[in-house]
Amino acid sequence: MKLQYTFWPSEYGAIPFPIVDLTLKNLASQKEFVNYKVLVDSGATSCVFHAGIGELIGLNIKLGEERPLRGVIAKAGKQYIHEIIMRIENQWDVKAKVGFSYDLRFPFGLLGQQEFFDLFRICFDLSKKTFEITPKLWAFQG
Amino acid sequence: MKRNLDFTKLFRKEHLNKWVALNPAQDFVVASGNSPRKVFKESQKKGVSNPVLTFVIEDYANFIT
Repeated sequence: MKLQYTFWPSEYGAIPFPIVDLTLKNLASQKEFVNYKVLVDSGATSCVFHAGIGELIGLNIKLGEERPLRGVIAKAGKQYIHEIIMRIENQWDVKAKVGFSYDLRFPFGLLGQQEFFDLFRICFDLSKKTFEITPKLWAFQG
Repeated sequence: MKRNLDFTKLFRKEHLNKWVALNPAQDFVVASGNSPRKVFKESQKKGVSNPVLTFVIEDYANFIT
C-alpha cells in the first residue's frame, strides 16, 4: 500500500510526516475501538500510544506491565504494556503488545520496530512525499 | 472517501494543545477538548460515530523521536 505524507503546520512551513490511520481495538471486548493518527517511526523501538487513547478503548492503563519510556532528551517516563488489536489503514489486523503512556509528549502515537517494522517492510521516499507499507507474508499467513 | 493530506490550515487557535475529533474525510474538526474520551463522545453526539482522533499543537517542527 502506497501512502502520501501528510503536512502539518510550523513556523518554518509545512512539515511532512509519514502518518498512518490506526484503529485500536480492545482485544478482550472486541467492541471498543478508536481511530487515531500515528507516526511511522523507525527510531522507536516499540509502539507507544497516548494513555487517553487506551482508556477510551476500555483499558485500565496502570494494570499493564510498567516499563520505562526513554527518548533523546533528559526526562524519562513510564509506559504500560497491553495487548490490543491494531488495524492498520483499515487493511491489516495485528495483535500486538504495545505501550500506553501518560508521558508521551508528541502529537502522534508511534509505530516502532517491535510489532510494526518486524511485520511490514517500509519504504520511505521523502522526495516524492510517499511511503509504502508492504506486509511480510509470513506474518499474515494462517 | 478521499482523505485530507494537508493539515496546515485546518486547526484554529482554540484547537491548540487539545485533542480533536476529525470527520472521516478529515477536512473538518467535529469536536475538541482535553481528553480523547471527551472529543469522541462529543463527536458521536454530533452524528460522527467514527471520528479520527489526534492531538493538536501549534508547531510540528523540531521533533526528534
